[in-house]
Amino acid sequence: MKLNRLLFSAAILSAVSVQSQTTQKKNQLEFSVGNNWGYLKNLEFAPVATYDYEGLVYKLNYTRNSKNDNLFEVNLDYLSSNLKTDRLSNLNTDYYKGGMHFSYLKKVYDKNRFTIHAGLQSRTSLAAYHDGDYITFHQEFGIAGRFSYQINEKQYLSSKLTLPFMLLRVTNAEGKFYTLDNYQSVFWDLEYGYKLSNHFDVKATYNFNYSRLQIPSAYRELQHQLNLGINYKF
Amino acid sequence: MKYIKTAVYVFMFTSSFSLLSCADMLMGDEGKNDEEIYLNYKTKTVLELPFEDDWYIAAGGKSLEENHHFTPNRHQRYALDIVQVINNSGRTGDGTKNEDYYCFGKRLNAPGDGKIIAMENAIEDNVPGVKNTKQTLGNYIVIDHLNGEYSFMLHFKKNSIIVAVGDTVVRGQQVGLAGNSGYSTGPHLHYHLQTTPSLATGVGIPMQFVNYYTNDVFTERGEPLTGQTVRKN
Repeated sequence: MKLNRLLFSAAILSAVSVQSQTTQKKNQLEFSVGNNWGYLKNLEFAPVATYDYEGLVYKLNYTRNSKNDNLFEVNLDYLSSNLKTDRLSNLNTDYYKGGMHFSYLKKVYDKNRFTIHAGLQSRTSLAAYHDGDYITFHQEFGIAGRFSYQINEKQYLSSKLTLPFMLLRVTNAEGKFYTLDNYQSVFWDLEYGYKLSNHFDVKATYNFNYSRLQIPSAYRELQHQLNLGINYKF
Repeated sequence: MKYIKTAVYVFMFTSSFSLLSCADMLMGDEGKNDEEIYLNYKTKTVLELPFEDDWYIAAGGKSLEENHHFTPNRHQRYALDIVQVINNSGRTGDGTKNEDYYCFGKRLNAPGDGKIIAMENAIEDNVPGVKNTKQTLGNYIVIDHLNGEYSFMLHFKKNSIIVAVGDTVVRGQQVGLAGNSGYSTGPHLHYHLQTTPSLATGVGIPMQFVNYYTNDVFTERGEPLTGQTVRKN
Protein backbone atom coordinates (compact mmCIF):
# COMPACT_ATOMS: atom_id res chain seq x y z
CA MET A 1 0.00 0.00 0.00
CA LYS A 2 2.91 2.35 0.78
CA LEU A 3 4.33 1.65 -2.67
CA ASN A 4 0.97 2.45 -4.23
CA ARG A 5 0.83 5.80 -2.44
CA LEU A 6 4.37 6.55 -3.48
CA LEU A 7 3.57 5.91 -7.14
CA PHE A 8 0.44 7.99 -6.85
CA SER A 9 2.40 10.89 -5.36
CA ALA A 10 5.16 10.51 -7.95
CA ALA A 11 2.65 10.81 -10.79
CA ILE A 12 1.42 14.11 -9.39
CA LEU A 13 4.70 15.62 -8.28
CA SER A 14 6.54 14.81 -11.48
CA ALA A 15 4.02 16.93 -13.34
CA VAL A 16 5.33 20.13 -11.82
CA SER A 17 8.91 19.68 -12.92
CA VAL A 18 8.51 19.84 -16.64
CA GLN A 19 9.73 22.28 -19.27
CA SER A 20 7.71 24.21 -21.79
CA GLN A 21 8.05 23.63 -25.53
CA THR A 22 6.17 24.80 -28.58
CA THR A 23 5.51 22.17 -31.25
CA GLN A 24 2.28 20.26 -31.96
CA LYS A 25 2.71 16.59 -30.92
CA LYS A 26 1.11 13.52 -32.49
CA ASN A 27 1.60 10.96 -29.74
CA GLN A 28 0.50 11.02 -26.14
CA LEU A 29 1.46 8.66 -23.37
CA GLU A 30 -0.41 8.97 -20.12
CA PHE A 31 0.18 7.26 -16.81
CA SER A 32 -2.38 7.65 -14.10
CA VAL A 33 -3.17 6.27 -10.70
CA GLY A 34 -6.52 6.50 -9.07
CA ASN A 35 -8.96 5.09 -6.65
CA ASN A 36 -11.69 2.68 -7.63
CA TRP A 37 -14.97 2.30 -5.78
CA GLY A 38 -16.72 -0.74 -7.13
CA TYR A 39 -19.72 -3.01 -6.70
CA LEU A 40 -19.90 -6.53 -8.06
CA LYS A 41 -22.52 -9.22 -8.39
CA ASN A 42 -21.46 -12.52 -9.92
CA LEU A 43 -23.81 -15.32 -8.97
CA GLU A 44 -21.66 -17.83 -10.81
CA PHE A 45 -18.91 -17.10 -8.33
CA ALA A 46 -20.79 -16.68 -5.05
CA PRO A 47 -24.34 -16.27 -3.68
CA VAL A 48 -23.75 -12.62 -2.88
CA ALA A 49 -26.14 -9.94 -4.13
CA THR A 50 -23.49 -7.20 -4.04
CA TYR A 51 -19.84 -7.22 -3.14
CA ASP A 52 -18.19 -3.86 -2.44
CA TYR A 53 -14.59 -3.25 -3.29
CA GLU A 54 -12.12 -0.42 -3.21
CA GLY A 55 -8.56 -0.22 -4.41
CA LEU A 56 -6.00 1.56 -6.48
CA VAL A 57 -6.24 1.38 -10.24
CA TYR A 58 -3.25 1.96 -12.53
CA LYS A 59 -3.66 3.06 -16.11
CA LEU A 60 -1.40 3.53 -19.07
CA ASN A 61 -2.90 5.18 -22.13
CA TYR A 62 -1.42 5.81 -25.53
CA THR A 63 -3.07 8.08 -28.10
CA ARG A 64 -1.96 8.65 -31.67
CA ASN A 65 -3.35 11.61 -33.62
CA SER A 66 -3.33 10.96 -37.34
CA LYS A 67 -2.78 13.57 -40.05
CA ASN A 68 -6.56 13.99 -40.32
CA ASP A 69 -6.82 14.35 -36.57
CA ASN A 70 -8.35 10.89 -36.14
CA LEU A 71 -7.50 9.13 -32.87
CA PHE A 72 -6.05 5.71 -32.23
CA GLU A 73 -6.18 4.94 -28.50
CA VAL A 74 -4.75 2.06 -26.50
CA ASN A 75 -5.53 1.77 -22.79
CA LEU A 76 -4.14 -0.65 -20.25
CA ASP A 77 -5.43 -0.83 -16.70
CA TYR A 78 -4.92 -2.95 -13.63
CA LEU A 79 -6.83 -3.13 -10.41
CA SER A 80 -6.09 -5.13 -7.27
CA SER A 81 -8.68 -5.26 -4.53
CA ASN A 82 -10.72 -7.37 -2.12
CA LEU A 83 -14.38 -8.20 -2.55
CA LYS A 84 -16.25 -7.57 0.67
CA THR A 85 -19.71 -8.25 1.95
CA ASP A 86 -20.78 -7.75 5.55
CA ARG A 87 -23.65 -10.19 5.36
CA LEU A 88 -21.60 -13.20 4.20
CA SER A 89 -18.18 -12.10 5.37
CA ASN A 90 -16.74 -15.63 5.14
CA LEU A 91 -17.13 -15.32 1.35
CA ASN A 92 -14.91 -12.21 1.12
CA THR A 93 -12.14 -12.79 -1.36
CA ASP A 94 -9.35 -11.32 -3.48
CA TYR A 95 -10.15 -9.64 -6.78
CA TYR A 96 -7.73 -8.73 -9.55
CA LYS A 97 -8.71 -7.21 -12.85
CA GLY A 98 -6.71 -6.15 -15.88
CA GLY A 99 -7.83 -4.71 -19.19
CA MET A 100 -6.62 -3.72 -22.62
CA HIS A 101 -8.76 -1.51 -24.83
CA PHE A 102 -8.27 -0.31 -28.39
CA SER A 103 -10.28 2.36 -30.15
CA TYR A 104 -10.17 4.06 -33.48
CA LEU A 105 -12.08 7.33 -33.56
CA LYS A 106 -12.66 9.47 -36.62
CA LYS A 107 -13.11 13.22 -36.34
CA VAL A 108 -16.69 14.06 -37.25
CA TYR A 109 -17.09 17.62 -35.93
CA ASP A 110 -14.72 20.47 -35.14
CA LYS A 111 -16.05 23.95 -34.48
CA ASN A 112 -15.84 26.62 -31.81
CA ARG A 113 -13.23 24.73 -29.76
CA PHE A 114 -15.59 21.76 -29.66
CA THR A 115 -14.50 18.49 -31.29
CA ILE A 116 -16.30 15.20 -31.69
CA HIS A 117 -14.71 11.90 -32.67
CA ALA A 118 -16.67 8.69 -33.26
CA GLY A 119 -15.63 5.12 -33.95
CA LEU A 120 -15.26 1.62 -32.60
CA GLN A 121 -13.74 0.16 -29.49
CA SER A 122 -12.53 -3.29 -28.49
CA ARG A 123 -12.30 -3.99 -24.77
CA THR A 124 -10.55 -7.07 -23.38
CA SER A 125 -10.53 -7.77 -19.68
CA LEU A 126 -9.51 -10.59 -17.42
CA ALA A 127 -10.64 -10.88 -13.80
CA ALA A 128 -9.31 -13.39 -11.29
CA TYR A 129 -11.00 -14.09 -7.99
CA HIS A 130 -9.57 -15.86 -4.99
CA ASP A 131 -6.01 -16.30 -6.24
CA GLY A 132 -7.18 -17.38 -9.68
CA ASP A 133 -9.49 -20.22 -8.61
CA TYR A 134 -12.18 -18.53 -10.68
CA ILE A 135 -11.49 -16.46 -13.77
CA THR A 136 -13.63 -14.47 -16.18
CA PHE A 137 -12.52 -13.28 -19.57
CA HIS A 138 -14.55 -10.60 -21.32
CA GLN A 139 -14.11 -9.46 -24.90
CA GLU A 140 -16.42 -6.61 -25.87
CA PHE A 141 -16.92 -4.70 -29.07
CA GLY A 142 -18.72 -1.40 -29.12
CA ILE A 143 -19.18 2.05 -30.54
CA ALA A 144 -17.39 4.96 -28.96
CA GLY A 145 -17.45 8.72 -29.12
CA ARG A 146 -15.09 11.33 -27.74
CA PHE A 147 -16.23 14.87 -27.09
CA SER A 148 -13.52 17.47 -26.45
CA TYR A 149 -13.87 21.07 -25.44
CA GLN A 150 -10.97 23.51 -25.22
CA ILE A 151 -11.79 25.81 -22.32
CA ASN A 152 -8.84 28.10 -22.95
CA GLU A 153 -5.26 27.81 -24.08
CA LYS A 154 -4.24 25.83 -21.00
CA GLN A 155 -7.32 23.87 -20.01
CA TYR A 156 -9.60 21.37 -21.70
CA LEU A 157 -12.39 18.95 -20.98
CA SER A 158 -12.80 15.66 -22.75
CA SER A 159 -15.37 12.96 -22.41
CA LYS A 160 -15.52 9.52 -23.96
CA LEU A 161 -18.62 7.36 -24.10
CA THR A 162 -18.44 3.69 -25.10
CA LEU A 163 -21.48 1.50 -25.66
CA PRO A 164 -20.57 -2.15 -26.21
CA PHE A 165 -22.96 -4.14 -28.39
CA MET A 166 -21.41 -7.60 -28.14
CA LEU A 167 -19.72 -9.59 -25.39
CA LEU A 168 -17.79 -12.85 -25.48
CA ARG A 169 -17.66 -14.12 -21.91
CA VAL A 170 -15.56 -17.09 -20.88
CA THR A 171 -15.66 -18.32 -17.29
CA ASN A 172 -14.83 -21.56 -15.50
CA ALA A 173 -18.39 -22.65 -16.31
CA GLU A 174 -18.80 -21.76 -19.99
CA GLY A 175 -17.93 -19.57 -22.93
CA LYS A 176 -20.74 -17.69 -24.67
CA PHE A 177 -21.55 -14.70 -26.87
CA TYR A 178 -24.08 -12.16 -25.66
CA THR A 179 -25.67 -9.26 -27.50
CA LEU A 180 -27.76 -6.31 -26.37
CA ASP A 181 -30.72 -8.59 -25.55
CA ASN A 182 -28.87 -9.89 -22.49
CA TYR A 183 -25.95 -7.58 -22.11
CA GLN A 184 -25.99 -3.86 -21.49
CA SER A 185 -22.95 -1.86 -20.67
CA VAL A 186 -21.69 1.70 -20.66
CA PHE A 187 -18.25 3.18 -20.08
CA TRP A 188 -17.97 6.90 -19.61
CA ASP A 189 -14.87 8.97 -18.95
CA LEU A 190 -14.73 12.64 -18.07
CA GLU A 191 -11.30 14.25 -18.17
CA TYR A 192 -10.05 17.62 -17.12
CA GLY A 193 -6.64 18.46 -18.55
CA TYR A 194 -4.24 21.26 -17.78
CA LYS A 195 -1.45 21.99 -20.20
CA LEU A 196 1.86 22.48 -18.44
CA SER A 197 3.92 22.63 -21.60
CA ASN A 198 3.92 21.33 -25.14
CA HIS A 199 5.27 18.07 -23.75
CA PHE A 200 3.31 17.62 -20.56
CA ASP A 201 -0.26 17.87 -19.31
CA VAL A 202 -1.73 16.85 -16.01
CA LYS A 203 -5.12 15.23 -16.01
CA ALA A 204 -7.88 14.43 -13.57
CA THR A 205 -10.29 11.81 -14.79
CA TYR A 206 -13.54 10.34 -13.58
CA ASN A 207 -14.58 6.95 -15.00
CA PHE A 208 -18.00 5.39 -14.75
CA ASN A 209 -18.09 1.76 -15.83
CA TYR A 210 -21.24 -0.32 -15.70
CA SER A 211 -22.02 -3.78 -17.06
CA ARG A 212 -25.14 -5.88 -16.69
CA LEU A 213 -25.59 -9.44 -17.91
CA GLN A 214 -29.17 -10.66 -17.63
CA ILE A 215 -28.83 -14.42 -17.25
CA PRO A 216 -29.91 -16.73 -14.38
CA SER A 217 -26.45 -16.50 -12.78
CA ALA A 218 -26.59 -12.74 -12.99
CA TYR A 219 -23.52 -10.58 -13.40
CA ARG A 220 -23.38 -6.86 -12.72
CA GLU A 221 -20.47 -4.56 -12.07
CA LEU A 222 -20.36 -0.86 -11.32
CA GLN A 223 -17.16 1.14 -10.97
CA HIS A 224 -16.47 4.75 -10.10
CA GLN A 225 -12.86 5.74 -10.58
CA LEU A 226 -11.05 8.98 -9.87
CA ASN A 227 -7.61 9.17 -11.42
CA LEU A 228 -4.80 11.68 -11.52
CA GLY A 229 -2.21 11.36 -14.20
CA ILE A 230 0.51 12.87 -16.23
CA ASN A 231 0.37 13.02 -20.00
CA TYR A 232 3.56 13.08 -22.07
CA LYS A 233 3.27 14.32 -25.67
CA PHE A 234 5.89 13.54 -28.27
CA MET B 1 -20.19 30.50 -26.67
CA LYS B 2 -20.74 31.28 -23.01
CA TYR B 3 -23.95 29.23 -23.03
CA ILE B 4 -22.24 26.21 -24.60
CA LYS B 5 -19.54 26.32 -21.94
CA THR B 6 -22.10 26.52 -19.15
CA ALA B 7 -24.14 23.69 -20.68
CA VAL B 8 -21.08 21.45 -20.92
CA TYR B 9 -20.22 22.06 -17.25
CA VAL B 10 -23.79 21.52 -16.06
CA PHE B 11 -24.23 18.33 -18.10
CA MET B 12 -20.98 16.77 -16.95
CA PHE B 13 -21.35 17.51 -13.27
CA THR B 14 -25.02 16.57 -13.02
CA SER B 15 -24.31 13.32 -14.90
CA SER B 16 -21.47 12.49 -12.52
CA PHE B 17 -23.61 13.22 -9.47
CA SER B 18 -26.52 11.12 -10.78
CA LEU B 19 -24.31 8.15 -11.55
CA LEU B 20 -22.64 8.28 -8.14
CA SER B 21 -25.95 8.19 -6.33
CA CYS B 22 -27.71 5.27 -8.01
CA ALA B 23 -25.59 2.23 -7.12
CA ASP B 24 -28.44 0.24 -5.52
CA MET B 25 -30.66 0.63 -8.55
CA LEU B 26 -27.89 -0.29 -10.99
CA MET B 27 -26.83 -3.38 -9.02
CA GLY B 28 -30.39 -4.74 -8.78
CA ASP B 29 -31.90 -7.33 -6.46
CA GLU B 30 -30.69 -10.55 -8.09
CA GLY B 31 -28.82 -12.71 -5.59
CA LYS B 32 -30.74 -11.63 -2.50
CA ASN B 33 -32.57 -14.97 -2.60
CA ASP B 34 -29.21 -16.76 -2.96
CA GLU B 35 -27.97 -14.97 0.16
CA GLU B 36 -31.09 -15.96 2.07
CA ILE B 37 -30.70 -19.58 0.96
CA TYR B 38 -27.06 -19.59 2.00
CA LEU B 39 -27.78 -18.19 5.45
CA ASN B 40 -31.13 -19.53 6.51
CA TYR B 41 -32.47 -22.29 4.25
CA LYS B 42 -34.16 -25.20 6.02
CA THR B 43 -34.53 -28.24 3.81
CA LYS B 44 -38.24 -29.03 3.44
CA THR B 45 -37.85 -32.65 2.38
CA VAL B 46 -37.03 -35.13 5.13
CA LEU B 47 -33.69 -36.40 3.81
CA GLU B 48 -31.66 -39.37 4.95
CA LEU B 49 -28.24 -40.35 3.69
CA PRO B 50 -28.77 -42.30 0.44
CA PHE B 51 -26.47 -45.24 1.19
CA GLU B 52 -25.74 -47.98 3.71
CA ASP B 53 -22.68 -48.24 6.01
CA ASP B 54 -19.87 -45.65 6.37
CA TRP B 55 -19.17 -43.26 3.49
CA TYR B 56 -16.68 -40.42 3.32
CA ILE B 57 -17.48 -36.85 2.24
CA ALA B 58 -14.84 -36.05 -0.38
CA ALA B 59 -16.44 -32.67 -1.16
CA GLY B 60 -19.13 -30.77 0.73
CA GLY B 61 -19.64 -27.45 2.47
CA LYS B 62 -20.44 -23.84 1.82
CA SER B 63 -17.31 -22.24 0.40
CA LEU B 64 -14.89 -22.75 -2.46
CA GLU B 65 -12.16 -23.76 0.00
CA GLU B 66 -14.28 -26.63 1.32
CA ASN B 67 -16.24 -27.62 -1.74
CA HIS B 68 -15.11 -27.47 -5.36
CA HIS B 69 -18.77 -27.45 -6.46
CA PHE B 70 -19.36 -24.04 -4.87
CA THR B 71 -18.20 -22.19 -8.00
CA PRO B 72 -19.08 -21.78 -10.89
CA ASN B 73 -22.31 -23.78 -11.28
CA ARG B 74 -25.01 -22.17 -9.20
CA HIS B 75 -27.35 -25.19 -9.28
CA GLN B 76 -24.86 -27.51 -7.55
CA ARG B 77 -23.34 -24.99 -5.14
CA TYR B 78 -23.79 -27.24 -2.07
CA ALA B 79 -23.29 -30.61 -3.79
CA LEU B 80 -21.65 -33.58 -2.11
CA ASP B 81 -19.16 -36.03 -3.60
CA ILE B 82 -19.23 -39.18 -1.52
CA VAL B 83 -17.04 -42.29 -1.59
CA GLN B 84 -16.31 -45.23 0.66
CA VAL B 85 -13.02 -45.19 2.54
CA ILE B 86 -11.55 -48.12 4.45
CA ASN B 87 -8.26 -47.75 6.34
CA ASN B 88 -7.79 -44.25 4.86
CA SER B 89 -8.06 -45.46 1.29
CA GLY B 90 -10.92 -45.45 -1.19
CA ARG B 91 -9.69 -48.52 -3.05
CA THR B 92 -7.73 -51.69 -3.14
CA GLY B 93 -5.27 -52.66 -5.88
CA ASP B 94 -3.76 -50.13 -8.25
CA GLY B 95 -7.00 -48.23 -8.89
CA THR B 96 -7.03 -48.81 -12.64
CA LYS B 97 -10.37 -50.67 -12.52
CA ASN B 98 -13.68 -49.41 -11.16
CA GLU B 99 -13.98 -52.62 -9.21
CA ASP B 100 -10.90 -51.57 -7.21
CA TYR B 101 -12.98 -48.85 -5.52
CA TYR B 102 -14.97 -49.80 -2.43
CA CYS B 103 -18.06 -47.81 -3.41
CA PHE B 104 -18.37 -49.14 -6.97
CA GLY B 105 -21.56 -51.18 -7.28
CA LYS B 106 -22.79 -50.33 -3.77
CA ARG B 107 -26.48 -49.80 -3.15
CA LEU B 108 -27.86 -46.26 -3.42
CA ASN B 109 -31.24 -45.22 -2.00
CA ALA B 110 -33.71 -42.41 -2.52
CA PRO B 111 -32.81 -39.74 0.06
CA GLY B 112 -36.41 -38.59 0.36
CA ASP B 113 -39.95 -39.26 -0.83
CA GLY B 114 -40.83 -38.10 -4.34
CA LYS B 115 -41.34 -38.89 -7.98
CA ILE B 116 -38.73 -39.74 -10.60
CA ILE B 117 -38.93 -37.09 -13.31
CA ALA B 118 -35.73 -37.72 -15.32
CA MET B 119 -33.15 -40.44 -15.64
CA GLU B 120 -30.42 -41.98 -17.80
CA ASN B 121 -29.20 -45.53 -17.39
CA ALA B 122 -27.22 -46.56 -20.50
CA ILE B 123 -23.95 -44.64 -20.29
CA GLU B 124 -20.74 -46.64 -20.02
CA ASP B 125 -18.74 -46.36 -16.84
CA ASN B 126 -15.46 -44.53 -17.30
CA VAL B 127 -12.01 -45.97 -16.93
CA PRO B 128 -10.78 -44.42 -13.65
CA GLY B 129 -9.01 -41.15 -14.33
CA VAL B 130 -10.80 -40.49 -17.64
CA LYS B 131 -13.85 -38.19 -17.58
CA ASN B 132 -16.77 -38.30 -19.99
CA THR B 133 -16.98 -34.65 -21.02
CA LYS B 134 -19.94 -35.12 -23.38
CA GLN B 135 -22.45 -36.82 -21.08
CA THR B 136 -21.48 -35.04 -17.90
CA LEU B 137 -24.29 -36.28 -15.64
CA GLY B 138 -23.63 -39.89 -16.60
CA ASN B 139 -26.34 -42.27 -15.42
CA TYR B 140 -28.58 -40.26 -13.13
CA ILE B 141 -31.97 -39.75 -11.60
CA VAL B 142 -33.84 -36.57 -10.68
CA ILE B 143 -36.41 -36.83 -7.89
CA ASP B 144 -39.15 -34.22 -7.62
CA HIS B 145 -39.95 -33.98 -3.93
CA LEU B 146 -43.18 -32.13 -4.82
CA ASN B 147 -42.33 -29.18 -2.58
CA GLY B 148 -40.03 -27.11 -4.80
CA GLU B 149 -36.97 -29.26 -4.08
CA TYR B 150 -35.33 -31.56 -6.63
CA SER B 151 -32.69 -34.19 -5.83
CA PHE B 152 -29.99 -34.95 -8.40
CA MET B 153 -28.07 -38.24 -7.95
CA LEU B 154 -25.31 -38.69 -10.55
CA HIS B 155 -22.72 -41.15 -11.90
CA PHE B 156 -24.63 -44.42 -11.34
CA LYS B 157 -23.22 -47.67 -12.66
CA LYS B 158 -24.44 -48.48 -16.16
CA ASN B 159 -27.84 -50.25 -16.23
CA SER B 160 -28.02 -50.31 -12.44
CA ILE B 161 -30.93 -47.90 -11.98
CA ILE B 162 -34.05 -49.85 -11.06
CA VAL B 163 -36.63 -47.04 -11.10
CA ALA B 164 -38.24 -45.35 -14.08
CA VAL B 165 -39.57 -41.90 -14.93
CA GLY B 166 -43.00 -41.53 -13.33
CA ASP B 167 -42.28 -43.93 -10.45
CA THR B 168 -42.95 -42.80 -6.93
CA VAL B 169 -40.10 -43.51 -4.52
CA VAL B 170 -39.95 -43.45 -0.76
CA ARG B 171 -37.06 -42.50 1.50
CA GLY B 172 -34.60 -45.40 1.82
CA GLN B 173 -35.85 -47.27 -1.24
CA GLN B 174 -33.06 -48.65 -3.42
CA VAL B 175 -32.76 -46.79 -6.74
CA GLY B 176 -29.50 -48.09 -8.20
CA LEU B 177 -25.80 -48.75 -7.67
CA ALA B 178 -22.86 -46.38 -7.36
CA GLY B 179 -20.75 -46.09 -10.50
CA ASN B 180 -18.32 -43.99 -12.47
CA SER B 181 -20.26 -42.62 -15.44
CA GLY B 182 -20.27 -39.04 -16.75
CA TYR B 183 -17.91 -36.27 -15.64
CA SER B 184 -16.22 -38.42 -13.00
CA THR B 185 -12.66 -39.58 -12.53
CA GLY B 186 -13.48 -42.38 -10.11
CA PRO B 187 -16.49 -44.16 -8.63
CA HIS B 188 -18.49 -41.90 -6.33
CA LEU B 189 -21.94 -40.54 -5.69
CA HIS B 190 -22.65 -36.91 -6.55
CA TYR B 191 -25.73 -35.63 -4.77
CA HIS B 192 -27.28 -32.20 -4.69
CA LEU B 193 -30.61 -30.47 -4.16
CA GLN B 194 -31.87 -27.54 -6.23
CA THR B 195 -34.92 -25.33 -6.66
CA THR B 196 -36.02 -26.36 -10.17
CA PRO B 197 -35.46 -29.44 -12.35
CA SER B 198 -33.36 -27.32 -14.76
CA LEU B 199 -29.59 -27.02 -14.58
CA ALA B 200 -29.90 -23.59 -16.20
CA THR B 201 -32.38 -22.01 -13.81
CA GLY B 202 -32.07 -24.09 -10.64
CA VAL B 203 -30.43 -22.60 -7.59
CA GLY B 204 -28.53 -25.00 -5.36
CA ILE B 205 -29.87 -25.39 -1.82
CA PRO B 206 -28.14 -26.73 1.29
CA MET B 207 -29.16 -30.28 2.24
CA GLN B 208 -29.87 -31.04 5.88
CA PHE B 209 -30.03 -34.77 6.50
CA VAL B 210 -31.67 -36.25 9.57
CA ASN B 211 -30.60 -38.96 11.98
CA TYR B 212 -27.10 -39.92 10.96
CA TYR B 213 -23.67 -40.36 12.50
CA THR B 214 -20.83 -37.92 11.80
CA ASN B 215 -17.48 -39.52 12.71
CA ASP B 216 -19.48 -41.86 14.99
CA VAL B 217 -21.30 -39.00 16.74
CA PHE B 218 -25.06 -38.91 16.33
CA THR B 219 -26.38 -35.93 14.32
CA GLU B 220 -30.11 -35.26 14.49
CA ARG B 221 -30.07 -32.79 11.61
CA GLY B 222 -26.99 -31.57 9.79
CA GLU B 223 -25.09 -30.73 6.63
CA PRO B 224 -22.16 -33.11 5.92
CA LEU B 225 -18.82 -31.42 5.32
CA THR B 226 -15.61 -32.37 3.54
CA GLY B 227 -13.55 -34.87 5.52
CA GLN B 228 -16.39 -36.32 7.56
CA THR B 229 -17.28 -40.00 7.67
CA VAL B 230 -21.04 -40.38 7.80
CA ARG B 231 -23.44 -43.25 8.31
CA LYS B 232 -27.19 -43.26 8.47
CA ASN B 233 -28.83 -44.33 11.71
